[in-house]
Order: sequence, then structure tokens, then C-alpha cells
Amino acid sequence: MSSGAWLITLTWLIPTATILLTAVLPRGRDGLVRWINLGSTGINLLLVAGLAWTYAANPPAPAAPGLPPLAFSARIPWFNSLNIDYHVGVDGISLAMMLLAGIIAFCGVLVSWNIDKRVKEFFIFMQVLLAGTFGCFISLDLFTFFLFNEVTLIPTYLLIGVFGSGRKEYAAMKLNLMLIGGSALILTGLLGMYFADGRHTFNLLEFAQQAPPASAQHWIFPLLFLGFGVLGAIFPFHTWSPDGHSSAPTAISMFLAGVHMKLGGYGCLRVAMYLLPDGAQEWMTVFLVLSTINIVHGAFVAVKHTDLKYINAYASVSHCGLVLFGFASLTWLGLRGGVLQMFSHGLLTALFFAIIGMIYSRTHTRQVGEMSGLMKPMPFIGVSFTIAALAGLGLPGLSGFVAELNVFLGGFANAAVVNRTCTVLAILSIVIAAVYLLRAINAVLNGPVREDFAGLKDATIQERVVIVLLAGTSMAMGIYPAWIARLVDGSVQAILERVVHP
Amino acid sequence: MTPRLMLLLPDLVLGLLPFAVLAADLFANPRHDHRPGGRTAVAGFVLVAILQVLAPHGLTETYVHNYVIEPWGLLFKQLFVLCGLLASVLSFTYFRHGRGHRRLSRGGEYFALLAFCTGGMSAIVSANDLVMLFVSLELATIPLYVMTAFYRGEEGSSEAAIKYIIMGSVATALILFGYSLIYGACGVLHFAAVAATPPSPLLTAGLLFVMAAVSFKLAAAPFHMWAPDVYEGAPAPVTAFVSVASKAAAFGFLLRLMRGPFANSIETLTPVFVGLAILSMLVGNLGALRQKNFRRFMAYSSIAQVGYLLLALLAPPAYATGSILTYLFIYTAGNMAAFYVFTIAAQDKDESMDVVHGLHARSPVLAAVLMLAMFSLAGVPPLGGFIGKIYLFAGAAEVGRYGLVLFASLNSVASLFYYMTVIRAAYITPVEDLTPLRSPSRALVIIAIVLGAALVILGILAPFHHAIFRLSA
Repeated sequence: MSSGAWLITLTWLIPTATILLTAVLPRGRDGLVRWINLGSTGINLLLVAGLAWTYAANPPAPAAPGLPPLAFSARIPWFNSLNIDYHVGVDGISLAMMLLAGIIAFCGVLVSWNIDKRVKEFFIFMQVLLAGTFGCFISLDLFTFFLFNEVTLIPTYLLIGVFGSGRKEYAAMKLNLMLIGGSALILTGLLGMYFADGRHTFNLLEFAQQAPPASAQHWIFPLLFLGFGVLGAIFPFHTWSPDGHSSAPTAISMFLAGVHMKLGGYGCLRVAMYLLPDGAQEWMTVFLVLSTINIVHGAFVAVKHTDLKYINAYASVSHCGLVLFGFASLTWLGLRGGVLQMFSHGLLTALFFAIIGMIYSRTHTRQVGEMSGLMKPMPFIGVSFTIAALAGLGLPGLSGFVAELNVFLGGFANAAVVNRTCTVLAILSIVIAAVYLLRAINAVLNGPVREDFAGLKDATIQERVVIVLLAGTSMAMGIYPAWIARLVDGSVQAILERVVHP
Repeated sequence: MTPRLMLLLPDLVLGLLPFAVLAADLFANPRHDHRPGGRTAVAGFVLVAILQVLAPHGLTETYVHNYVIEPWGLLFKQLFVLCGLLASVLSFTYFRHGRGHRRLSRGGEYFALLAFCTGGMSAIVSANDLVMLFVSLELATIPLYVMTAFYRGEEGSSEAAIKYIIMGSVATALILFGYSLIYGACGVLHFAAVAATPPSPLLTAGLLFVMAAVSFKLAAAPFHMWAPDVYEGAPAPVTAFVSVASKAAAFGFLLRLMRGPFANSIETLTPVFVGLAILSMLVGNLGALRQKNFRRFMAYSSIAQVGYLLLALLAPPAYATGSILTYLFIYTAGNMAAFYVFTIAAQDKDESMDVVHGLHARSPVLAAVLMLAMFSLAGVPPLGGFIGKIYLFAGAAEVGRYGLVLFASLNSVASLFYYMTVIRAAYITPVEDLTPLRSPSRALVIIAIVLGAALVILGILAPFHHAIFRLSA
């Protein structure tokens, strides 16, 4: 395996090594556990940032027409009986997602600094989740991608069910069963691709150069898109998301909503649309309508809720609908917008969940009605709350605006009536977003300070690092988006060429 | 020593093993307990396993016209001996001489029966004509009836044994009736000649009767009624043995028929396999959801697992053999690990789910092994059960049965729910009594750990699977 391939394999080997190291530590060494995990996620973040920098500085050219511009790739035969290889490589989109995962993982460890019960198990399960996620993003073999996806599902259950709050066991079981149900659809689709024309391969690159026959694509595409869509909270299979994200501990909400849901969008783009372009052309209107319902329905339901976490969870459902909406428009700006929205929304929702967690740990309530005037005792958190909320609205200067602009322009660029109507509806949902976000800001931050809230402490140093890292990256993307665009453009171009001109 | 003899040697030793056990029990037993018999059984199984590993693996040999050893048959035999070894080690510690209701009178006979059973199963996959197949099937089944009743004086045990023997006898009658129809269609009993007979409705009818009987052995729905009661009433090591070995033996029986005499007629049986698979998955998964008793839980779980295994029979025989063998090895490791942990945790009590409450604090290692076993049975990566199930589903997908694959995957999802209840009981349910768990025997814990490690290794490293597929061609 080339050294580059070793580097990207390290992104999931480092979490695995951390798991083993944490497991052998004796009980009671919680401080050491936290620092080891912080160091491990920090090293991972630096590694991924370095890889992304190297890639963006010299983007490679695609090896053949139809292939994405890959770097650091390698291929080792694994389960020969089904031609499963350990085939890895990254392009711009993968690196952007890995960068997102690295940032949120690091911030997640910082946010979890004050967990004091069963600390070892918490960090072990979290590292399994991380290992699976990174493994997904680097996989170029469909089966290995599926395997890493499945690896992430069980720690999710354990993390929410053991360390969560509220109706945690119910939420954990619902989340888990629905996500694994989605992966049952994916498995059927993948086996269909393997056997479709007797090709007997799971190699993504082979499918990229020559797609399966159109008759096979006709039934495989909806299975795959729907299966990955469940992971990305597509309507009507989004119901796992609000309960799951709201019951999860803060760091896990951040990671699940920020990165794990993006696995769904990533799978939809890389596996379903890229490899099955005829199927995409055929079925896209259906998924366009579903994602529009996501956007509008999610926004409306968020208006109704008064629990901050539920508001953000439904806002996530709505914004993840924007990702699939961008993909469904089948235009250059739409695809790029979807990818940018994956990155941007990941950062923003993680930031929002982190801040909600900080507020909850101080006020012990998440109900909007019970809080008021928090800006006075906690100005740092208050300002960050405002930034996060306004970014969700698409305020220029923050990443949300860049992504949503691309998505809406791309949606409108597709001249079909359905597309344009849905784009108008989606744009109008910003108004609804304004309702729930501004109302939340007003209720939580403004107004008279409650008696018992007057003495609350502002953000600690760990929390400030988290907020600055997340908000700073979002601002960097919002003010000067060229760096992220340069990272993903080549890869989006490669996918667009396959999807639009099959 | 010629390769031909080396190939037969393990079976010869396995055939003589029951008598060695009885001899040790009669003549070398100063304290009149089960220990000499048990030790001889364990040593014998280890010896047979070593001889099997040393035997030439790629060879096909026929002995006295009726006994044929093929490469995939040798793999099945290794599986049976592994099951026998694990069951005899578990039994050795489980039956403590003279303590409460676990008193084992005539212990030597118990281990001799176990050895007879394993020998019979070995003969099933080596049969070359119908009579040999029938005799070996009976040799593999009748000792199990007796072993089920080994808790003398305990009603549950005797009741389970009566149910088992009555339903088993019905199955035997069905097989004989099927054989008589097949004989009527072919006029001969030897496999080579049966294979040469063209398919006919009489032959198909005979095959259907045989399939019904095999489905009973497998505990495939709708022939599964005996399984929950027998699993609950029998002594724990017997349940463990039945849950893995009798399933493997039944699949050995089926594959022997599918790859030998009935290779041409197997298309007629495809709807039967599909129907059995769907029903077994449904019955197993729905039945396991509400179980509070660990034994009944494992019974329904086994019924569902048989459903997944039946899917593989739709594929071409070589692939079917490979995928079924791989999954059976992984399933053995998972099931046996679960039984070992529950037996150690239950000590002298009945095995309800309560015995593992708080296991994560009382014995973290055993709780981890139990978690690995449950996740492997549910098909969670990176454990062996995941890749095993993928092999099985790929077998169905290869012949275009994608609806079945989707159905099986969704059932696998549903099964995760009830496997999780066991893990929840061990890890999440709060309990006051957190005294550390001391196992009656160090050997049991070590074997449980090895089985747990095997589940992880089988999920990640591929050479074992490659060897099985290569030998199954």
C-alpha cells in the first residue's frame, strides 16, 4: 500500500488504537482517558487537514474519463469469494467530509469533558463511531463502504441508550432500527449491482466507467437512494432524527447531526447518483418532491416545538433536505450546493447543539419558555447562539449563505416546472426558519434576566475553543469560500459529467 | 501410512471413541463419577480433531463402496467434532457429582452417547447410499433423545425428551416413507445409480417427504414445534450441542443429497426452500421477541438462523456449500459462546435473562464475550456473523431473488432488537447485587474468551473463509 493510502487508513486506525488503549486503562483514570481521546482526535484532525491541504494545493487529474480525481488510493484483496477488496482513496468531496468529521470529533471530545459516569465506555463507543465514519469516507469498494456504515450503527445505539437523556431508550431503539432498515435496502441494492450483469465486482471505479444496464438501474436506484436517504433523514423516514438527536448526549448529537447524517447525502451522491445515472434521471423528480417536503415540513414542525434541541433537530431535517434537494436538481450549481451544504450545515448544526448543551448544563432546562435574558450573564455564549441561529437562516458572511445560494440557483437552473416550483417553495421556507430561529433568540437571550440565572458562568476555555473552531470555520467558508470550493469542484465536476451526460 | 488411510483415520478413531469412553467409565473409575468418561471423551475429541487437521484435505476417497469422504465432508466432520468437544467440556463442569439436581448418574454413558452422536453425524456426510444415510441419521438422532432426558427425576427434562422422541419418530417414519417412494422410482439404493435416474413425479414426492423430515431436524418452521420445549427442558450442554450440531448435521444431510443423487431434481425443491426460509425467519423472529427464558430465546433464535441458512441453498451447490459451512462455523462460535456465558453466570439457578443482570460489573470479560456473541448472531460488523450473512444473502441474490434478500435483511434488522435485549440485560439494567462472578472452572472462561476472539477474527481475516470456499468446490 502506498504511503498516501497508509495516511488515509490512519484516519480510522488511530481511533481503533485509541479504543484499545482506552480499554486497557484501569478504572478511575478518567482524566487520562479524556486527554488520550483529545489527543487522538486532535492528531486525526491535523492529519485530515494536512491531507486536504495537500490535495487542494495540487488537485490530481482523473485517471480516466468518468473517474473522480482520486488521491492516496490503494487496493488490497480481502474476501475473495465475493470480490470484496479493501479499496481506499479520496477525492475532494471525501476530504471535505473527513475534515468536517475531524473538526466535529475534536469539538465533541472537548464538549464531553465533564462526563463523569462510565467515561471509558463513552469514549470507546465514540471512537468506534469515528472509525466507522472515516472508513466510510475513504472507501472505494461498495461493500467496504457498507461495512463501515454498519459499524457506526451499534455504538450509536449504545451512546444514546446509555448516556442520553429524556426518552433515551425509545429514541435509541427507533433510531437504530430505522437506520439498519435503511441499510437493509442498501444491501439489497448493492447485491443487485454486484450480480446485475454478471459483473461480480463491488469496485466503485469500475461502475463509474461503465454503469449497470438501465433495466437494473431502474429498480436498484430507488433502493439505494432511499436506503441512503433514510440515513440522511429523507421524508417520510426522518422520524428517527428528532428523537434520536434530542435524546443523545451533546457530543453525540453534534456528531450524528453534523457528520453521520451527511453519510446519507454522501452515499446518495457517490453511490446512487454517480454509479446509476440512468436511474437518477428517471427517479429524480420523486426525490426532488420528497426533499422539498423535508425542507418545508421540517421548518413548519420546528416552529411548533419549544424544546431547543427539538427545534434544532427539525431544523437539521429541513437543512438536510436542502442537501438532497441540491442533488436532485441535477445541475452544476445544485450538486456543488449540496456538497457545500453538507459541509456548512455540519458545522452549523454542531455549533448549535454544542451551545444548547452549554446552556442546558447551566440552566438545566431546554424549554424556550423557561429561559430569558441569558445574554447578560453569558455574553460569549449569547453571541455565539445568535451567530449559530443567523447562520442557519443563511446570513451572508457565514457558510449557510454560500451553500444555500448555490442550492437555490442550481434548483432554479433546471428549467423543469416541477424543479422551479419546488425551488420557490424551498426559498420560502427561509421565512419559516426565520420564525423559529429569531423567536428562539429572542426568548432565550433577550428580556429580563431570571433570578436564578443571574449568576451563571460564561463559557469555559474548552467551550470557547469549540465555539471558535466551529464558528470560525463557518465564517471562513462564508467570507472566502474559494478554499472549500477549490477542494470540491473537481470532484463535483466528475460526478456531474457522469450524471448529466451518461 | 497412505493418504487414503490418513483420510479415514479420524472417522475410525471417532467410531471407537464411545467404546473407549465406556471402558474408561467401567474399569478406570475408582470414584464412580463422570470424570474418567468425560476426560476420555475430551481427549478423544481432541485427538480426532488433530487427525482431521493432519488429514489430506483435497482428496475424495470411497471406502467399501458406501462410505465416501469428500473435501467439504471433511470440513463438516471437523465442525461436528468441534461441537462435540465444546459440548463435552461444558458438560464436564456442568454436572457436578451429587450436587442438587445436577446430579449425573451414569456419567460415562452420557459422554459415550455424545461420542456416538458425533460419529453418526460424521457418517451422514459420508453416506453413499440411502440405507447408510438413514442409519447414520438415526445414529445421530437417537442419542440426543436420551441425552435430553438426562436430568433424571426432573419432569421438564423427561417431558422434553418424550416430545422430542415422539416427533422425531414421526420424522423417521416420513423419511422411510420418502425413501420407499424414491426406491420405487429408481429401483436402486446406491447414490450413483439414483443420480442416473431421470426425474419423475414419484421421485419428487419421495423428495418432499424427505425434505419434511429434514425440516424437522432443522427446526425449520412449520416443523419447529419441538424446539422451544426441548431446548428448555434438556440439560444446558445438551441444548448447546443440539442447537449447533443437529442443525449442521441436517445441512450436511441436505447437501449430501443435493450434490449427489438429486442434483438434477433440486429445481423442484426451490419453492420448498423459499417457503421454509420465509416461515422460519418470521416464526423465529416473532417468537424470540417476548422470551424471558434464555433457552427458549435461543430456540427461536436458532429457528430464525435456519431461515437465513436455507437461503443459501438456492445458489449453485459449490457456493451453497461454502457459504453454509462458513456461516455454520461462525454460528457455532456465537451460539456456544452465549451458552458458555449463560451457564457460567447461572451457576445453580435456572437460566432466565435475570442471571446476566449486571454482568458488565460482575465479570466484564464474560459480558464482552456475550455482547460479541449476540452481535455476531445479529449480523453486526466487524464480527463474523456479518460477513457470514452476506455470503448467505449473496447466494440468494446470485439467482435473482432480490425480494428474498430484502426480506431477509429486514428480518435481520428485526432480530437485532431481541439480541439487544440480552445485551441490555447485561450492560444497562441496574441491579443491586454486584458480587463478582466466579466461574466453577477456569477452562470454561478461557474457552468463552477464545470463542469471542474467534468471532472477531472470523469477521476481519479472510483466509479461513477462502479455505472453506476452495474446499467446497
